[in-house]
Amino acid sequence: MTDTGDKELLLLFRNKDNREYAFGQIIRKYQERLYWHIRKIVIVHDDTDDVIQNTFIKAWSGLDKFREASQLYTWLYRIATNEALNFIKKKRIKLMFSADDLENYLANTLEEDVYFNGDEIQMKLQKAILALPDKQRIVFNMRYFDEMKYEDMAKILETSVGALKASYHHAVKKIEKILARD
Amino acid sequence: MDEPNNIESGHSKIRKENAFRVPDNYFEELPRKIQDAVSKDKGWGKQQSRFRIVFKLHPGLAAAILGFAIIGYFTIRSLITDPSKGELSSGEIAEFFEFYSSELDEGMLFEVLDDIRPDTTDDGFNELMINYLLDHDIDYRSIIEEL
Repeated sequence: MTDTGDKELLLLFRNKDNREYAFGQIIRKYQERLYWHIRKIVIVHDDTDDVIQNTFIKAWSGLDKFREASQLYTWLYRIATNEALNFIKKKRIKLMFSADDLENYLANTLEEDVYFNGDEIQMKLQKAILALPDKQRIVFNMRYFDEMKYEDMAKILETSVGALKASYHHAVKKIEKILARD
Repeated sequence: MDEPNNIESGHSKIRKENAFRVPDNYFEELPRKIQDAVSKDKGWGKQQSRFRIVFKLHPGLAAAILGFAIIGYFTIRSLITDPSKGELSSGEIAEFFEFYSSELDEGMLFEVLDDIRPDTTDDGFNELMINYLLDHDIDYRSIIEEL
């Protein structure tokens, strides 16, 4: 993550002639990180594909108003997190109409997912993570898998470092309890 | 507070590596796909802007079009779906809109049009309701409780 690179890209974006080129560069720079962040929340590849497109569509329309009060990457992560959470909310409600619950649905989907090739124990871990509340799940993934600093997480999730540490601690304890039970 | 480097599971430690995969060349093709989606959205956005200007000047027209669009949508649905499923009739929907006419605004019109436009599947109605309720910050637990 280089601030200078982002500043240059934002400068290019503000010039109407370079706007699409600059946006393409922003996509290329952040697409993978954002994809994996979203994928761990929504689990299914096709859903992640939809959410990441919506994330960048929102970014495109909001980038003009982006005043660099936060870093570009923090801002993009925040949009991606909100889009993914919103997607999950809608999915949860839709599933209520078919009398299923999201945790079960995602766990079953994961078992049949051709784009998941974890071993048995990784599958168990993913299912245990799915049992966490949505926001705790995000905190756990960002810290455990992405090894993100609490300070960066706090900016993205707009909460305090202390609250994040407590949330992560509870998530780990819950996961260990679930894994020990299985 | 000690932090685990790896989650303990029995005697084994779970590898932290990413077990998820993507289709071949996914990240090579994604930027083009996103830029295409952005272009399409810009087109729809321009149409919306034109409508917004007209409807801001004529809120009554906005409410009338919204009412017609929704009643028309459900009338067509009722014609092509099984009546034994007990869905709302167009009359009932009209009554609903008459009752809630003061609540209708142009923002709602665009949300509804936006939802109807790409979605012609059976999930359309659920999607419509869910999006509306979520966009008005109604907690999903409250919605579930009401079902």
